[in-house]
Amino acid sequence: MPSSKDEREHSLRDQITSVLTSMQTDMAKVENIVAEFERKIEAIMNKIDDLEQRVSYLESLLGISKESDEEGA
Amino acid sequence: MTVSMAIHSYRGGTGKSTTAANLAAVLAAMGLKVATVDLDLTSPGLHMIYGVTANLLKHTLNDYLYGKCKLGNAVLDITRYLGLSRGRLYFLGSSMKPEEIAKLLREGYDENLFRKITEELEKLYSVDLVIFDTHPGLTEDTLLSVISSDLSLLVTRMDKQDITGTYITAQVLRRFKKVSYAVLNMVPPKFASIPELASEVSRLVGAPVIAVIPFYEDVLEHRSHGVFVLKHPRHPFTTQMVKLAERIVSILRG
Repeated sequence: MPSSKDEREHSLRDQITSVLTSMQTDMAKVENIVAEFERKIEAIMNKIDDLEQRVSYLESLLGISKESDEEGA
Repeated sequence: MTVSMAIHSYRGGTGKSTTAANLAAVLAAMGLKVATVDLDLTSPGLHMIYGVTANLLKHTLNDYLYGKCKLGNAVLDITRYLGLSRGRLYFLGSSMKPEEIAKLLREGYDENLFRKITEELEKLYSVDLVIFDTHPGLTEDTLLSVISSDLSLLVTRMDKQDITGTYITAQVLRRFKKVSYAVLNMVPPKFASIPELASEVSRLVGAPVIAVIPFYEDVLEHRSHGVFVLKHPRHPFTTQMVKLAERIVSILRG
């Protein structure tokens, strides 16, 4: 362990404590940032869902055509 | 020169130890000399994934800390034990005994411990990489191990609590000018397919996301019975671990 007072004051443990206590984190701001991120991801998910629905619709149309083809054959 | 990398998370249950154990095995299989150190000192468990029993683990990091043994006596070469034919994989485990954990919490340890471990592992085994599997959270002791490392991987799930915690952790690490990367783990498959996911999370937490690993039930069902990637070399989880290992190698090579 560091011996002199000066060294102790500059120890990594002290630096960690000092940084953590001086951070003054604005939790409301953090929550807003995370909420904004979640909204973005949700919007992307909705887009994907929408695209999946369109693909399913097109597939069902193709499916009908296929069945019709088979019936015709 | 040996590089040290902390695998850390804000919360528990993110798959940190699973990532550490599997990633180390892949890196060793790629030909690297890797050492993994269980720094989850109050709740260690990495030895279980490696299948290292109490019989094999004669000395632990705790013994080294209190001068009961030299570091080399506590380090196990598990390369052959795991059936690896390339590289080297060393393991330094921690004690699960409550009395030894209590002693550690009561008496603490030298803040230079983590640097000393890296230096000794370099001297004894010429390892390329030391992987520290840390205890989650922002306590002083766990931050010591993260900040003492050359770089860190922040493992997070796609969960509001994890994402928020990772954002805060990355902010703390930035204050120390530490290089950190994020790994999105256990991502629901539907989310994992979002092309913008990695860039959005990178922007949010202020650390580049270098892997998006989907959730695989097989990994959960494996229940820490050995190193998954070695038992299932063709599984998609293994492919993801190989990609992550390649990314880390490219980071190490600068």
